[in-house]
Amino acid sequence: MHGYALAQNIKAVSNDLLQIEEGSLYPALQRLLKAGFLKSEMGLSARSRPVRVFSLTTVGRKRLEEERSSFEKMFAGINRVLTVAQS
Amino acid sequence: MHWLKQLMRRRRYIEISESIREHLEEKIADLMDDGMNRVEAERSARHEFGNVTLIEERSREIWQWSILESTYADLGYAARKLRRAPAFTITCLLTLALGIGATTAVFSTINTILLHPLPYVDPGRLVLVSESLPMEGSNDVGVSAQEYLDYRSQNSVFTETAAFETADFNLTGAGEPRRINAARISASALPLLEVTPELGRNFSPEEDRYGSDRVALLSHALWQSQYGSALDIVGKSIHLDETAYTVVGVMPASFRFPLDGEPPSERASIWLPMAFAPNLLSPDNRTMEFGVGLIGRLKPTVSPQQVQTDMNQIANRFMRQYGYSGTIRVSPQVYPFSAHSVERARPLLILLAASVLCVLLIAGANTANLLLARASARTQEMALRMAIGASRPRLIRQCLAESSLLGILGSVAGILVAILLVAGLKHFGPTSLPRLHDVVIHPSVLLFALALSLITSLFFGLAPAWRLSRVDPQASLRSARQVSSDRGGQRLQNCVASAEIALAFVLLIVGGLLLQSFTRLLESPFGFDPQSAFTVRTVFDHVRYPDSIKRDIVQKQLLDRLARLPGIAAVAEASHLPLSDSREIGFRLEHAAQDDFHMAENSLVSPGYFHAMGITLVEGRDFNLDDRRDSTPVAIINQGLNRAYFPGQNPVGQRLHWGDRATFTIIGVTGDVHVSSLDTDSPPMIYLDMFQIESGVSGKTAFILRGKTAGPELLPAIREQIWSVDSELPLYEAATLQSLISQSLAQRSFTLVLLGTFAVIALLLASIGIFGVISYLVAQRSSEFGVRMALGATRSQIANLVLSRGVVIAIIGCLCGGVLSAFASRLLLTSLYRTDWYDPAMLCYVPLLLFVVVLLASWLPARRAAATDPMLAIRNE
Repeated sequence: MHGYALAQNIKAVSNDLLQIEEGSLYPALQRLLKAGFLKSEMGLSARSRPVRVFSLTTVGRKRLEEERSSFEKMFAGINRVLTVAQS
Repeated sequence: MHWLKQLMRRRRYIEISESIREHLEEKIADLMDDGMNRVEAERSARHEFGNVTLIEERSREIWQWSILESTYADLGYAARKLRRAPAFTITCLLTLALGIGATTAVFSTINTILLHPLPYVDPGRLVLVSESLPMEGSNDVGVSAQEYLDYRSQNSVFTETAAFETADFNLTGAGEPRRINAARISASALPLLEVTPELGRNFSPEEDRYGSDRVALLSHALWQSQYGSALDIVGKSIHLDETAYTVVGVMPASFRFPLDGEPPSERASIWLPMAFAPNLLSPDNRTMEFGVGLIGRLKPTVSPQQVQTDMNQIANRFMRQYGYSGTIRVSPQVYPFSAHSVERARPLLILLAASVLCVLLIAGANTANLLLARASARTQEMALRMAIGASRPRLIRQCLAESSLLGILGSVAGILVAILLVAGLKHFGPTSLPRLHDVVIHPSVLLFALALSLITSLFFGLAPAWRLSRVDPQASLRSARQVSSDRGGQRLQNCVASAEIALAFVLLIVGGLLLQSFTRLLESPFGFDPQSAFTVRTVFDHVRYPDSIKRDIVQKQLLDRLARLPGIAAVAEASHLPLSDSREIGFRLEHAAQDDFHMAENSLVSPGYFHAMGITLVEGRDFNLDDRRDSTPVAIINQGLNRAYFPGQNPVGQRLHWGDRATFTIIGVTGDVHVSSLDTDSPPMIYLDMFQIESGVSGKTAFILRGKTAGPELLPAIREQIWSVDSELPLYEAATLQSLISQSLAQRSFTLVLLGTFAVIALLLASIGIFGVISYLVAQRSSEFGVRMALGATRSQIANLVLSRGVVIAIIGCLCGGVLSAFASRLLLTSLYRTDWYDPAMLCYVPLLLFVVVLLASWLPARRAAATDPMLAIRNE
């Protein structure tokens, strides 16, 4: 996915809940590139223009899984605590 | 590999810019599809995207070895910036160079000449023990041989102790006869100092005993000059006072013990074993002779207080045991060995160090002021940078780069100036200064000066960034006047300028007081006439002249021959000369109690000495040829002794005892003469006739020649006359009496010159500082002046406005300086000679001078302000 599409996507998926300055995506993308979680190659945009497309590497995918599961665990933990606190 | 990385990184950067551009293009296209026109779409896209430049930079930073790279870029930018403001850069660098260079050079000189670091292992743990006789008012007489042995055996604070004593000898058998300085040291001295001979060995403990002590260690210099650095010198024998000694070793060139602080001509050339003579060790002679130096190395955990307590206990014990009584009560004093020789110079030293610091502070203040002025001028630039997205840390880094570049360049220039100054000082400095040629730049002083200047430039270099944290960049951009209304910065600048004036004030007052004290010293009567008088020394030692009658004949013959030299009006001899020798004897007034001893300076002189020296005879008569060894012993005293012991009486005809030597009848009273230095009061003095009384131990004597030809040019003729009588007599220390005086004043005049230089530098720097502040003020307020003029202010009113700022700075500076100098001159009090710390005339002249300087420094900017064209100034708005 290229930068603009990514920004649009985040906006759409989060139902405009996550309002980010579009530009701030780029330093984050570079950080992921540097860590080897992303790779970039030339591709085509929705308007069939040549653009740089970012995709997850195997390492990146693995890391994403890890992050997601740890986040879910944490979220579940928080949820449980809140439920107990409510009752 | 570096270029490869560089290349890859460049590709990354291009990619980042490209993907951002693609992003914007896509977005613009989308927005235009929604019905916006191109311009609106572009603006909206950029608005939603954020600051493109900043985001590109942030993204690039991810790949950078960021700090190093951006610092490099910052330094490059800073260098260009500095090059574009040459006046600012040059003034700043000059100030820093002068501050760092001058202070480092001067302090290094002081350090080498006065503090002389000792070439021994852990010199800080070496202490000297010397006794005072409080009842006598005599300080630092050393210890006696038996007391030394007591301290050595009974102490619990030293790992090792050693005794030393200075001596001198005639060295014969190698070229012209020479008088050389020597030192007797105990066998423990070299192990204590942790020094080993560079050739041969130390004395053995057996050789440190009377009778088996005919061994010697040579100095490196003597070994070179007299024996051609012969490696087989060890084991050879040399002749000292016509006695053969075996050379056992050669000491390294750095070894100067015990006269580490003396000029080269006075240092020991030969070391002999201490080997106390048996008569000094007999119980009856316990206090017969002091003068033995005691050096000890402290045990690692011992403090100076513990040493003092321990020494006091030992002294009390032996004084009780051996029944010290009357005026013979000793009190041991402990000194750090390194500080001992500078004890008297300490106040001057502190003063010099303080003035060095003052100059350094002024230089720092000046740099600060220049940077502050520049900071204000650059607030706008900074505001602009901030507005287009520079973060505050980024701006701070930029400022830091510029000021550290300035600081580093200034430091390099400073080091160069220091090297040049030290070289110049070695070349042109007064030769009478000991160790001048050993002066090296002192690393810790240099480091201190560098650190201070770097800190100053860094701290004040940050001002523009710091100021921005309080100034709204928008407001700052909108109007240039916003900058000039930054009162905080101006107040700071005024304070710094006032501080400079205050410090210059203090230095001028201190310099003035020293100058006054110096002239008072020169104007005070010396007690003798230094004009057209020349002295040369020789020795009639007891081995060569065992018979005193024969020695008297030779001496009289010599006096007679010297008197016939052309242009010589008077000739005399003396065992001790004022301002160069000191010898104290104990005496007792007739009818006084047995233990009621007093001390007086003593010299054995020939008839005619007072005439030849130009010392006035106040009462009675001079010695004459009728005072012989078989006639009544006679003495001449000075007015000081007369005042102290015969107040309201006629001293002529009174009698006094000198130990068991004889009872002397006083036949005359002379004027007072300074003995140890010009700034100490003349001590009580007893002159005896050298042809009547045995000349003590040494046989040293000085010929004094007075006449219009008396001077160094006469030396060959004098030598010829003396050697025609005895060619083995060594001649040394030929000097005019005038040079004795200048030697005695050398340290003072050196201090005066240094302080004078400091005061001038301070004044110069302060005037540069004021000039900078006022010029800056004028530049900032030119539009205001234009408005004022347009509203009817005259040119002189504008000029006065500017000048008044200078006057306010001067008034505040002088007030602070007055308070500070009151403290400073009180500290100075001990080094002043008959000069009060409070001098009304000086307190008038110094502020006057400073006002003149301040007015001059503000005059140019004031004129520029008065020349403001109101139309131009207002149009610039």
